[in-house]
Amino acid sequence: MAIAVPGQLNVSESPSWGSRSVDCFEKLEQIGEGTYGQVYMAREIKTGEIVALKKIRMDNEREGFPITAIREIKILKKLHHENVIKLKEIVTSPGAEKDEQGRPDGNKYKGGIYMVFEYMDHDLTGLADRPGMRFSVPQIKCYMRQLLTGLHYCHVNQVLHRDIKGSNLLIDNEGNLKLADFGLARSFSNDHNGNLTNRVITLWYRPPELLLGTTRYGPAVDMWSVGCIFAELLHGKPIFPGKDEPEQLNKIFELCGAPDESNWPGVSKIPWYNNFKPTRPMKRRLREVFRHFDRHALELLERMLALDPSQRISAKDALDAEYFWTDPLPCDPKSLPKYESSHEFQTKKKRQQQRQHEETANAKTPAPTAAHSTSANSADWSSTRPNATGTEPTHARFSTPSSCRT
Amino acid sequence: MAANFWTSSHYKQLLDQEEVDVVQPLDREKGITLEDFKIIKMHMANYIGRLAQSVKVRQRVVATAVAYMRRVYTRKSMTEYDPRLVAPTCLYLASKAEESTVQARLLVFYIRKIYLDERYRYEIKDILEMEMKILEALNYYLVVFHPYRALPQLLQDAGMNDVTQICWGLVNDTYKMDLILIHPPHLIALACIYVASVLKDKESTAWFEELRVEMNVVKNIAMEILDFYDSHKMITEERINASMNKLALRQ
Repeated sequence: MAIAVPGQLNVSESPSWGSRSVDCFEKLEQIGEGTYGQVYMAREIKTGEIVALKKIRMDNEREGFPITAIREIKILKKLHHENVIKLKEIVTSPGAEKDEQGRPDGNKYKGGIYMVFEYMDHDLTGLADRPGMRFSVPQIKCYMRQLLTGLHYCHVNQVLHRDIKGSNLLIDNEGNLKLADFGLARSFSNDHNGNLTNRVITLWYRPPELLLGTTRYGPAVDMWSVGCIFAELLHGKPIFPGKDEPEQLNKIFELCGAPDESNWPGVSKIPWYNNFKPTRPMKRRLREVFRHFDRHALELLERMLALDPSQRISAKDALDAEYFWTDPLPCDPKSLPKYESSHEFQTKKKRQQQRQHEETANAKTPAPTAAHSTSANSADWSSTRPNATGTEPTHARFSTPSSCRT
Repeated sequence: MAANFWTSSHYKQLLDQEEVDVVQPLDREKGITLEDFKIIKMHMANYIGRLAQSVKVRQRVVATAVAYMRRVYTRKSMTEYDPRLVAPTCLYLASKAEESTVQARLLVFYIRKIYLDERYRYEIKDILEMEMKILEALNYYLVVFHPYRALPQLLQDAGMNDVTQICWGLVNDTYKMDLILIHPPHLIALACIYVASVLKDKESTAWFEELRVEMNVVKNIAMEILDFYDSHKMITEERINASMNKLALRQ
């Protein structure tokens, strides 16, 4: 005898158990590369609805269904919010695998498993990288407020996102922003936070405490990333584009000052503090560098980019900041302009194609300039954006063994 | 808006006793009765507990694994989903979902150690294949709430910290039944406290009255627990084997 209130027992949900086949969808094009698999834009054949299919990579998986996928599914099934991407269903692909004798081996899951998400037209990085794109102040406020609202919801529900960056913030043509890619996300509890991996968050958006090797951390790690995105929106390009961990920390210290016991009590006990302690004093220059920013914006940014995580502003307090309550106010998402679909993956590809095109054109002209060939490799920052998984041990000092993320 | 029990899939999936007590047609054909069905599930819950002791995981993982196993059998037959494979696989999956991962090969090693019977022999690949089938059968709903979480706070509030051990044991034993599929976990916790207070002759009436919970539900759960203990004594090893042997029958 269940004691659910009449009508609250959702008996009609998923009338048939077991998942549908991916054949119910027609793949249209690849739109991204998730933490552990490709993302496709697809059309549901029956309804014509456009969705995003994210493939869960199962090959080379000796421990069955990946724990990262289990985390993502558990978390997405528990979060229901207008600023968090919605997981619609999970579909499987009947694999064409055959055993040694050429018979189908009966394991239908070898073919792959896909998470089906609502389709979003853009991601923030893809949108910002469009040629000639300039966000208005009300538009930036509108995106920032949605980002903070979604993140506050995650934090209240004890979920750390751990990979907040522009390409994981999806935007539809109604101006709605949603947090996506919970592939590195984790539940945390206030009472026993410890022993979490510090190898999360894409390098450019990774907070100093993780770079210094802490394994006890909380929602403040996501807030640092938000600060980086906020500054990037106002500044027009990433503010900490480090190429490895030491350079990343150095860039942070140059802008935010070097941490010591006076501005960050306890910092000297963080594992790698002594390895990275700067040899010369470094002052905080944030206000000076970004003096052209609006006063309220700068004030909020100051509090997001606090070195000491315990002094960093929470998502909830950030939503109450003057910035969001002074003119010009954040605009209504629906009033935002509509753009043709743009994802970082696509803009990157377009850029590469364009570059190849230019290069072949240049090859025909007698004197290709040296400057041009370097720009093709690295000067163009948007083509070299790192990924969270791409930043695994790059440095001998960081090669502590970790079989799975915790 | 918070992701608590009342907004969870666990709450939405609570079932009635009549829905849980359905022997699938394929199993009925083998002569498996409702009683056999319950005995096999209890036996498998015990098996999960024994395996968990060997691979050393928390009680919470055991509880989640048993809940998965019981959920599977509200939808799937034991004929198609052999409990001897489903049980360890549920433990394997629960260990991931509860963040205390157990390696598949370790599990396979201990299965062989516990059961010399070759009907229980499984390879890693069997576990991994069954894992996918279970994920589907569960429709990927992996979050389970348990009575353990509410227990310390409730006992503190009732001023009955001295019966903590008994209550904890009682909660463990509720997983030998289907209660977790039927009732919200805090009511199961309260029923265990109620049973403990009766056993230990503690005056708790006033405290329960102030709680504003459906006391008749709590008492019904408590009765079920006591009934279970009564009937449990009659379940001999032979009786369990008889039920398990029906499973092995070929049609």
